[in-house]
Order: sequence, then structure tokens, then C-alpha cells
Amino acid sequence: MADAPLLTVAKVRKTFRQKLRWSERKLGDDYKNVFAVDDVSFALERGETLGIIGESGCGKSTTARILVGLVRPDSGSIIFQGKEILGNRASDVAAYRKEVQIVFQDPYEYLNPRMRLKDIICEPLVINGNIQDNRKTAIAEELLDHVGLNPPNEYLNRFTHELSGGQRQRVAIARALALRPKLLIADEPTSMLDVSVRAGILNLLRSLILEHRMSMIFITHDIATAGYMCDRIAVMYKGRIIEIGKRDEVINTPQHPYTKALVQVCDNLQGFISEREHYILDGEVDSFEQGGHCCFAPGCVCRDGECHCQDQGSQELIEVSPEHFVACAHCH
Amino acid sequence: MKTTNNVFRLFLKGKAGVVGLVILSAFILVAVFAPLISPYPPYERVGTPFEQPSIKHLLGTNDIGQDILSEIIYGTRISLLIGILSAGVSLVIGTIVGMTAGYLGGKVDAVLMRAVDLNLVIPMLPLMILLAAFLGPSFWNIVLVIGILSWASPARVIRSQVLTIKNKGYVEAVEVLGAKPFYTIVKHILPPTMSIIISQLILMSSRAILTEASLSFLGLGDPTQKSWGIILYYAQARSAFLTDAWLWWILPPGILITILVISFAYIGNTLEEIVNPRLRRNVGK
Ligand SMILES: Nc1ncnc2c1ncn2[C@@H]1O[C@H](COP(=O)(O)OP(=O)(O)OP(=O)(O)O)[C@@H](O)[C@H]1O
Ligand SMILES: [Mg+2]
Repeated sequence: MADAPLLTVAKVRKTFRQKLRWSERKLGDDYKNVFAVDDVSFALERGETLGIIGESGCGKSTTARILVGLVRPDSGSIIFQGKEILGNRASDVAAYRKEVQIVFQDPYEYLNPRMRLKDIICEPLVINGNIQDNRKTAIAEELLDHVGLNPPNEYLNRFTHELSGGQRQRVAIARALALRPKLLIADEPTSMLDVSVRAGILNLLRSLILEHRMSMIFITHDIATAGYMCDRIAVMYKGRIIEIGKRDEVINTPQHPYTKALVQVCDNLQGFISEREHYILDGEVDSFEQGGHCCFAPGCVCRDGECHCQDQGSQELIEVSPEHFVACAHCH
Repeated sequence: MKTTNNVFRLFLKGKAGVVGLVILSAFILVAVFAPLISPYPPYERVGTPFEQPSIKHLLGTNDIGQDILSEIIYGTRISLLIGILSAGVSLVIGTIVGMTAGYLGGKVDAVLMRAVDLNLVIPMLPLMILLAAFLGPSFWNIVLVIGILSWASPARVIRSQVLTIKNKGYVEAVEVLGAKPFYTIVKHILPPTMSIIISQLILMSSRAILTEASLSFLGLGDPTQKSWGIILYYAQARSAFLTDAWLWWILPPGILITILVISFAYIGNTLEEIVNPRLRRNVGK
């Protein structure tokens, strides 16, 4: 890992404006700002899997959508293989798009119900203009086989409604692999699936990553899954990364009170529920209105509920041990 | 998923649609086989002027001795053709506008939709009369005038369908693959919009037939291609209203126009109830 990172994300921000309901409106102000992604920075090495965990609405999907170009961030920079892709060079962006693919959360939504699997899987190649019609079957069979749909020729001409959720997700993975990307983003790829098929999908992703030497950004809300899949873990809260570090360090020695709460939920759910007030206060978990201080302050239990981060204006992460960064300076 | 097959089955359960389809088929047969059915060539003087109905001329003859029944049978061709062609023109424009507005959104959408609103509030008939008078009477001018001025309502319906589909995940997924807008529209947005386009085509045909009749009745039609509207125009101009001749010269084409328009409307409405989710009642449940 001596060379430059595959991907460097720096100070990326995206604020959505949401229209307020009538009852919530103040004079002259019909909108509220949602800081979906707020000053997110991280780097990803080649071959590495980075987990992004956090609760619903913390901006995980928005981060993923920014990375695949579905959402344009308000500011920040994304450097992929040394090239800035938020600049305006269309050719750079087109090249980037081929290298970065995504597997979405909902396999029922993201595959066109009118298309046969063969066409779905070959579509990336058709769009990018490097496939002959007579090669389609062979390529689709190879990819189907690759993602564990056997025997492939049984599946080629099916429609998605003839598949189970897990099978659909495998098709989505096959499609993402068709262009041989360098970076795969998986946005909660198993959260819509039955528990019984989850392990299969996770193992498939892991083996594909190893086999193709891809990097992966793996998004989940489950710290156990992240622990299984990832080399490093970033914890997001209200649009910010509040802790990032090696998997073992984050899980074994969490620094931020929010991470501690997450780990405790996973380790010992009983204990967490009975002693909830030791870990987290019930605060609003929308990414609205924030001051410069710690975004976790309303929910923070450190120092007997009196958070000393209030006066912490800095948003820089603090390095507590090598490559282990945390946002909150007072809480450990 | 709604397959074509499915739409067809639902359609057969809506009675109005089937009635419309039967009537329309009859008209189409008449139009296609006009040379076989009609007793005389429609543009030849085959009798004396102003004959009353008789065995020889079932609906009498007109002011220059042409057989009215034959005129009407051939008129089916012209009326149907103008109706469908103008609806085709309006649907081509409407689809392009609706797709562009729905897919691109933002300012383009706002501008196009204002144009649609404008188009919908301005009474179109006077404008068509002006334009038709300006362009002069010919078959294609009538088609263009009607087509160009009635794309607004299909554009709006198509746009709303595009908006629904554009937000589906699979359209987003294709964008990630690097698809150009043209590809996305043709491959992923057009197919599920097709059924709505067809139902609009049929509805617009019914309107276009009526509009054509109105324009022709006012003398703006092409006298070498006599539609029912033009037959009515001549009947009116030769004072058929003042004599008994209205019974066989004016009533038959008038009734036929009504029936044809209604049959199109029946088909179009039934189809639209099936394919436009917002209108769906319990068709065929
Ligand atoms: N297009 C949008 N317009 C307005 N607000 C949006 C939009 N997309 C996301 N948001 C808001 O941004 C915030 C972050 O959303 P995001 O989907 O990134 O969360 P998430 O972490 O993926 O949650 P989940 O675990 O439920 O998938 C939410 O408050 C959401 O309401
Ligand atoms: Mg999400």
C-alpha cells in the first residue's frame, strides 16, 4: 500500500432542502436544510474494504450516491486514481463511472422488470459499447456462474419476477461486475433479504473482492456485519464521520460514545436495553440544524449528561492511536 | 407487471371498450373496402342534380348529380385517415415534449409545462380556423393544423407517466452504468409509457375527427378529398337545410361522425382507465 490511495474523498458536503409542512413553517421560511452529508473525508486503499455504519438517515446512502455520481455534492473533492472527478472533464467522469459500480439496497427496485436477465447483465457492456450481440449469451453465462446462479443457462432468459430476493441481488452483483470495476459500493446489500440468504451474499461479495482485487465500500447499519466484511470501519452520525479506524480497534476499543453504544447493542443487547441511559440519550436523530459543536451533543451521556463538547468548534478528527480517528475529544 | 396481454384481457372486460372496438372495426372495413361497397364512383356525375332517394340512389344525389351514399362511403376513408394522422402528429409532438419535460425536469420542464397550460386554456378552434384559412385547404394542411395545435394534453399525461418511471430505481441504476439520456429514455422509459401513448392516440383521434368535421364544415377542408365534414359543407352551402334534403344529405354523415367519435372515445377511455393508474377504477375486477 505504498502507492497513493485508490480513492480520496475530502470535505464532501450535500445539503438537501426539504419543504416544511404547513404547521412547521415560520414566516418567510418554507424550507429546512438537511445536512445529509456534512464534511465527510476518507481515503480508500487498493484492495481495501471500508465499512460505513450508522443509523437510518445518517447519510450513508447519500454518500454512496455521491460516489457513483447520482447526487452532485455542494462542495468537496473526490480524487480517484489521481484524477479529480468533481471537475468538469466529462471524459474523466465517464472513465470513472466504468471503474465504480454499486449494488443497491433493494433488489426489487433496481432491476428492470421488463428485461431478461441476459440483457440486464450485459447492459453495462451494451451501454459502454463493447459487446457484440452474439457474445452476450457467453458473457452473461460466465457472470451468472460467477455469482453462483447455477446452471447459468437456466437463468439467462428469465425475468426478475421469477427470482427470489437473494437471486435478484446476485443478478445485481453480476451486473455490477460486468465492467470489471476497481471499486464496488454495496449499499446495505442484504438488509432487504431474508436472514437465511444474507450469509450467502456476504460471502459472495467477499470472495469476489479477493478474486478481482477490488476495493469495496460496504454500507450497513449492523456493526457485526461490518466487522465480518471490512478492513476498516467508519461510523457516521448525522452526516458526519465521527470515528474511523481499523476494524478491530473500532470494535474492541471504541472511542466515541456513539460507537460505544453501537458496539454494546451488538455485544449485549440485554445489557444495552436495561442500561440504555449509560450509553445514549434519546435525542432527535435528524440531520437538521447544527452548530459548530459536536453533532452528538444532544444524545451524549458523557460527563453525566453535561457534554463538554459544546464549546468544541473544531470538526477535525483527532488521532487517538495510529490510523484511528475520533471526532469527540472529551469523551474518552 | 402489466403485459400487453394483460391490458388486452382487462380491456375485453370493459363493455364500452368492446362496443367501441366493434363499431370502429366496422368503419375500418367500410373504409378499406369502399370501392367494393359503394354503388358508384364518388366523384362522378351519375344522376341528375338533387335527386330524391330511390332504388338507384339510396340517399339521393347532390347538387351536381353525384351519389351521396357513395360519397359517404368514401368519406369514411378520409375522415378516419385525417383523424388518425392528425392524432399521430399530435402524439409525436406530445411524446417528445412530455418525455423531455418529464425526464429533464427543472427549468426545461417549467417552460414546457407553461406552454402546455397556455395551449390548454386558449380555445383552439378559432386558432385552427385562422391557421387553416391561412395555409389553404388541403388534406395535409388539415392534418398538420390539427396535429400541431393539439399536442398539449397528451404531453401532460405522458410527462406524468415519465415522472413516475424516472424515479424508479432501475432507471437510476442505468445512469450509474453511464447510460446517455437518449438510451435511458428509449430503452427504459418509453416501453412502460407505450400503453399510455396508444390510449392517448385513440382519444386524440376521436377529437381530431370532430375537429376535422368542424373545419371542413366551415369550408376549410380539401374539396378534392371529400370527408363527411365536406359533404356537410356542400349540403349546407346548397341549402339542404331549407328543403327535405337534410334528411338524406345532412343527417347520415352527421350521425356517422357522432358514432365514430363515440366509438373512439369508448375505446380510448377504457384503455386509459386500464393503463393510467390514477384513473383506474375497478375495470374488470
Ligand atoms: N433527494 C433528497 N431530497 C431531500 N432529502 C433527502 C434526499 N435524499 C436523502 N435525503 C435526506 O438525507 C438524509 C440522509 O439520507 P440517506 O438516505 O443518505 O440515509 P441513510 O443513512 O442511507 O439511511 P438508511 O439507513 O435508512 O438507508 C435523510 O434525512 C433524508 O431524508
Ligand atoms: Mg440508505
